[in-house]
This record gives sequence, C-alpha cells and structure tokens, in this order.
Amino acid sequence: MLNRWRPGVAGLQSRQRTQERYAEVSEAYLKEQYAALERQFATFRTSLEKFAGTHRERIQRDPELRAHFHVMCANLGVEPYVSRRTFWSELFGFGEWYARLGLLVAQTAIATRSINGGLIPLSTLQRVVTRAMGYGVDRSQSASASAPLHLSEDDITRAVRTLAPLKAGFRIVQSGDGDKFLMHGGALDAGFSADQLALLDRAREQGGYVRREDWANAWPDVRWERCIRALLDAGIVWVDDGHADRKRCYWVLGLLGTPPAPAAVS
Amino acid sequence: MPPSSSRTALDANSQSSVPTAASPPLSTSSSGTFRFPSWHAYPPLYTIQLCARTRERQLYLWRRLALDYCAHYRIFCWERSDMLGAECELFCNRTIHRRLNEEAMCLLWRDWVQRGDAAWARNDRHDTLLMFWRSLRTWADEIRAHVRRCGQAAGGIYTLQELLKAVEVDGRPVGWHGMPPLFLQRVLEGLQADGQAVLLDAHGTLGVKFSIDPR
Repeated sequence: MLNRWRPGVAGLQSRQRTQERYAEVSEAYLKEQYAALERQFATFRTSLEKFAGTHRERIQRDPELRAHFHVMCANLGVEPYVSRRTFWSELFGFGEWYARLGLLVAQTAIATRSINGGLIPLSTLQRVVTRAMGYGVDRSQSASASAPLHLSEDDITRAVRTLAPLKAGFRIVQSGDGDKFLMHGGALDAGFSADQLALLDRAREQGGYVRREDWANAWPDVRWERCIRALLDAGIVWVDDGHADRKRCYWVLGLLGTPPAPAAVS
Repeated sequence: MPPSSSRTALDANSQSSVPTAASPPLSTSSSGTFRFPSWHAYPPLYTIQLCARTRERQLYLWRRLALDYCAHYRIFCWERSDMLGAECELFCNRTIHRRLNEEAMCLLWRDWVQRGDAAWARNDRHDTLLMFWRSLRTWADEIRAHVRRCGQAAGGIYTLQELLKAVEVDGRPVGWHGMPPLFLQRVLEGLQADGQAVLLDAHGTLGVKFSIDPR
C-alpha cells in the first residue's frame, strides 16, 4: 500500500522534477538544433561568399546568373545592392552600381516625360541605360577585361527600386502580356485599369497606336471613352488626325523609338 | 557657315541669355545638316492635341525645335510662305506623311511670339517672323562689346551697313554676320529704348550713335 501510493507532497515534487528535466532536455535539444542550423547557415553563407568571390566576373557579366544570385542572397537575408559597407558591396560595388543605373533610369524617365507622359517600357529603359553605361557594344575583338556587359530587365527593376527613397513615385506596372512599364510622376495615380492595360497591349502589337474601331463591338462608347479619356489626360496617349483615311489614331508615344541616352554618370 | 566665329564676341558678355544655354541644343554638331529629334517622326506631333497639358508640351517641343533649327542654319527672318511651303523640312515629315497645317502653324507662331522667342517684322502683316534664337538683348550686348573693343569711344557713329560688314580684329566675321538689316534695326531699337544708342537717319541712310561708357 505504502509502495503503491506515495504521499502527496513528495509525489508532486518528484513529478515536477521530472517535468523540469524534460524541459531542460528539450531546451538543450532545441539549442543544439538552432546552433546546428546557425552553423549550416554560416557555412552556406561562407560558401556563397566564396562562390561570389570566385565567380565575381561572371556574376557581373551574366545578367541571368546575377538575377539568380540576387534571389539566393535575398533568401538568406543578404542584400548586396542595399547594404553599403559589407563584404558584398565591397566585392561588387552593387549598391553604387545600382544607384548609378537608377540615376540613369530617372534621368531618362524625366527627360522623356513631355513626350510619353511618364510611361516608358522597361525594355526601352534597358536599351537606353545599356547605351549610357557604354555596355552592350560589341567589343569582342578587344581584351576580355572589357568584354561586353549586359543589363537585364531584372537589373533595371532593381535600379528602379533604388529610387524608392526619393519618393518620386517611380512604379513598375505589368500589362496582361507580361510587358513591364515604368510609370512615374503621378501620371495615373490609381494605376492602370484592366481596359487600359489591354489598350497598351493592343497598341504595342499595332506599332504604337489604337483606334476606336479596334473595339468596335467589344466595347460600348462609354467604356471606350472612360478608358481613353484618362490616358489622354495623363499625357500618355496623343491623338493623330493625319492618317490617310481621316480616322483618328491614338498613339502611346512611350512605345515609339528609343530616346537618346543621357550622359553616363561617373 | 563658319562654325565658331561668334565665340570670342560672346565670351565678352554674359551667355546666360542665349536661349539654348539652359539646355543643350538638339543638334550636336554645329555644322552640317540639322539632326532632328526622334519625335519628329512621331505622327501625333503634327495634330494639335486636345488635352491642354499635352498641348502645352507639344508647343514647347516645337518652339524649342524651331529655335534650335534657326540657330543651326542662322535663320534670322523666316517667311510665312517658306514655313508653310511643302519643301520646309521642319514642319512636315514626308516619311510618315504628316505635316502641320496652317491652323496648327498659326497656333505655333502665336506661342512663339507670346513667349518672346519670335516677333512679326510688321504687326499689321504677319508674313515675316524674326526668330530670336538669341535674344535681342544678347545681340545688343555683343554689338556693344564689339564697338568697345574696336576702340570707338563714346560717341562713335556707325551706319547699319558698317555694322553688318564688321569683322573682328583678327579678321574673323562677327557673331551677327548674315543678320539682315531689318533684324539689326530691331536690335538697335531695343538699345535706343534703353537709352544706350540713338538711331539716326541721314538722307535715307540709317546710322546709329552708341553711348558707351569709356572703360
């Protein structure tokens, strides 16, 4: 009887001791796991750094690899293009590099605003900035050190992101077809409606313009009017009455041509 | 067209009032054919825009382009008929089959005159525009600086023809070479209004007497 039923207080104490032991053990276990994870993370980070160090040239040259590298860094909480004084920025100078690209993006966007109303395709920016930086020129004959560098759309997107602190309202919008545009200057504060994005896509397909007839039956007048009115008011779309058949064309000027490159900043 | 004949004369006074000083001219080379901006090939630029803000931008673009064009070819006086003519390469673009019609051109002219970038030679007959790709003030300063450099003390009297044929001390043409008498007269009238010169008419020959502080 005595053996089977031990007195209350002692029993409770012993149970409590057991629980404390469990807690200790589990805490130690967790700690160990966490430390192991930290070690793994550190190892991974070190090898990423090692990788970056070894492949620095390629990362700077190859836009695709650069994009993957950035994703990897972001997942690890390392942001080579944001942090200024780190191993990363020292290695790549990414922070300053993207800031320079960003400046060129801003210059181009502002310089062309009177024409395009603040809407410019990223592909256009990519061309202009590439030219302004002196990249993309065929220098295959020369030494490998000055081999052509290329900018990707991803680079332009990152460059636009560096402009965020300026609060100038630089924004990237994407049309239904996946084309990306830079918008700025509060051209359309609410962003594009689905109809307007459809209009942009259509204009791009047709070489820069649309006509009322393109939606003759699909859109009633009121829908067309609302769509085009806002774009005209924003200065993104210009009217053209000079067509041979006397029917009005609505041009998205941002889709035409490549503006001249601004002087590269050093 | 000598490329940089006007530089020394300009250096003597402020260049800030040169219309294209704030932003570089669209054409990069000072000689050869004029390089049009890419928007010159955009069809809607040839239709006056409905939206007021866009129209403002459009007028601004044309104004700047016209001034740059005139500066490039040193056009001082521009005939209305020349601007409207089919062979005027500035206001029509045959590649895209677009041209500014007369109504649009009238709007452009009114804008230039309003902004002080051009003036009708005669206010009663709008057939010749004086193009101020440099301001009258700038031309006046340049002429005064030249007169001063050439050693003419206060009271120096010139005929308009003398001024138009003037050359720099080293034999190069002056900055205003090629300026029509009509235009020069307008420049000097400005100086007269400021009390810095007096226009004289001696038997049909126009002359000018500068009042320049001897420095």
